[in-house]
Amino acid sequence: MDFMFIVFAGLAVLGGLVMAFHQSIVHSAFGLVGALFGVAGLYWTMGADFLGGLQVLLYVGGVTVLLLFAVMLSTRDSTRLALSRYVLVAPVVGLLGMFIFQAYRGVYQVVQVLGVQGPEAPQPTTQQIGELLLSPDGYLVPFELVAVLLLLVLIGAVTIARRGQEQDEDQGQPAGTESGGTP
Amino acid sequence: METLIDFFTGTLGLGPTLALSLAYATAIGSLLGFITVYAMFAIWMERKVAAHIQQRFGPMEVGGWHGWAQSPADALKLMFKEDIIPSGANKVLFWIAPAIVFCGVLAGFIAIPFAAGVQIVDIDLGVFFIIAIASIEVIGVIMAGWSSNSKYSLFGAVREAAQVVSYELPSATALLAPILVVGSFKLGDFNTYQAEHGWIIFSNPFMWIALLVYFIASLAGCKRAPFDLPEAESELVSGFHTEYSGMRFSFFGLEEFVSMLLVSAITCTLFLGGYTLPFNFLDVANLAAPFHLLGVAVLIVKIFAVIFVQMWLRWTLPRMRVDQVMTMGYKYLLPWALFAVAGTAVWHVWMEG
Repeated sequence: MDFMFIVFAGLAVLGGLVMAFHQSIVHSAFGLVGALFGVAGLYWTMGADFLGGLQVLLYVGGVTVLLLFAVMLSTRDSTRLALSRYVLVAPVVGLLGMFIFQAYRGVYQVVQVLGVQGPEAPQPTTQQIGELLLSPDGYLVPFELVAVLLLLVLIGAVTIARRGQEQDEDQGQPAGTESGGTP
Repeated sequence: METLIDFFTGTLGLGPTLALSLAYATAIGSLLGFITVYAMFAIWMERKVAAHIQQRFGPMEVGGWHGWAQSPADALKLMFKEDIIPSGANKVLFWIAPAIVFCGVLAGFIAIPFAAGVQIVDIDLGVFFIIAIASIEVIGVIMAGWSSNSKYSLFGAVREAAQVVSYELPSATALLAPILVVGSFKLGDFNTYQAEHGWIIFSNPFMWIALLVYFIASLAGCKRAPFDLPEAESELVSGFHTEYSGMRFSFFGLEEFVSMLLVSAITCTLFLGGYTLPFNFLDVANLAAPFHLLGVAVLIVKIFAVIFVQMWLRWTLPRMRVDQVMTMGYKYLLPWALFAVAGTAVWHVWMEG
């Protein structure tokens, strides 16, 4: 287990360093892939197998692909400028992350004092998640509410994107009719 | 897997850590050997099927009988070929891209049960793990396309990424239907269930829709014709692997056939009874020690039947346009997959309650 931890943690740290400090933005994106996969591996070593699977499926295979699309299809100058601006934000985010981590550890210690303990050996989590979701006093309603929120965000994004397109068409059409005349 | 560990600890008297590593090394080594032999056979079979569909003979000279040695000869040629890296390419990414693509597919095999007990790990996540880990392949393809520093490669990679990410939705949704019936992600559970209750494909009428949707979506996921837009020869030279040569090129070729094997193995295990025979003839799942290997033969025969249909379709249907591929995925396959899942759920609640 320790060996796997070192492998995955090393991958996560190395990927994170590549992401933060590499000159080329595409390399940064691939570094992010490595970091996310390393984190998925850490989830697996900690026994959260379903979470690790989701991490690989959604973040490694889905979100970063979209990110790479955005990086490749945008112009080079603007991405560099954005990168240099966010380099200043990075330490702040890091400090915030450390703070949250410390807060989480505090909560964890309180939980341990209260005598609530996790399972000793890693247990398959899929069944537990299913029971938490679908049992009568489970988290079905909050889960569905979050799903509805995500759906709203999606529809909103599509609406905003389409509004831009319609404006372009409105601007484009009069210019075309002025110069074109009757076909 | 336990048998192997027992062999190394008991018969050879090794320590537990060493025995565990040796057992995994043996298992993965034999898996790699199987995959290599399979890929050579599948390439030969593809050429033969293609030739006979087009009323030719295909390879006939090398090795004597129907050109059986054509694939080993090709593999030998590719191995000794010079490994060319384009001068404008990004070397590091260009090097590791084929490895990432191949690892993504190979990792899926650790959860596939070939017969009772012939399985590397029966992961609790099973099907979900295979779907998740196979999505790494897209990253490798984008890496290959971008690092080649060639327009055709990049076009191919972007097409591939769009297609594979889109078709992950219907294929994963369609797989939910058998998962609902069995109530587990574990691939081992699918075999025990089907040995007891019969093949899942016959469990309810909606399962046929799920199988059809999964089969079409998995064709797209393997980049097989009619979905081979990422490497459309007439438009993109050869797609994302235009700039590759030698061994690195052969890894991409190998990856296509290995992902066909993986997808067919999932189809057979989840829908077509896994390694059990029809009507649980001979009770393959519970045979005594040496005879349980019969399951491997049963599964391989089933897998090759599915692979034959994949090849048959490749040489029958013309390639689709980009917009047709997207329409197919989002407007037809995804709703039908959701319908199949909902139908299965209703059917089983109705039958039980």
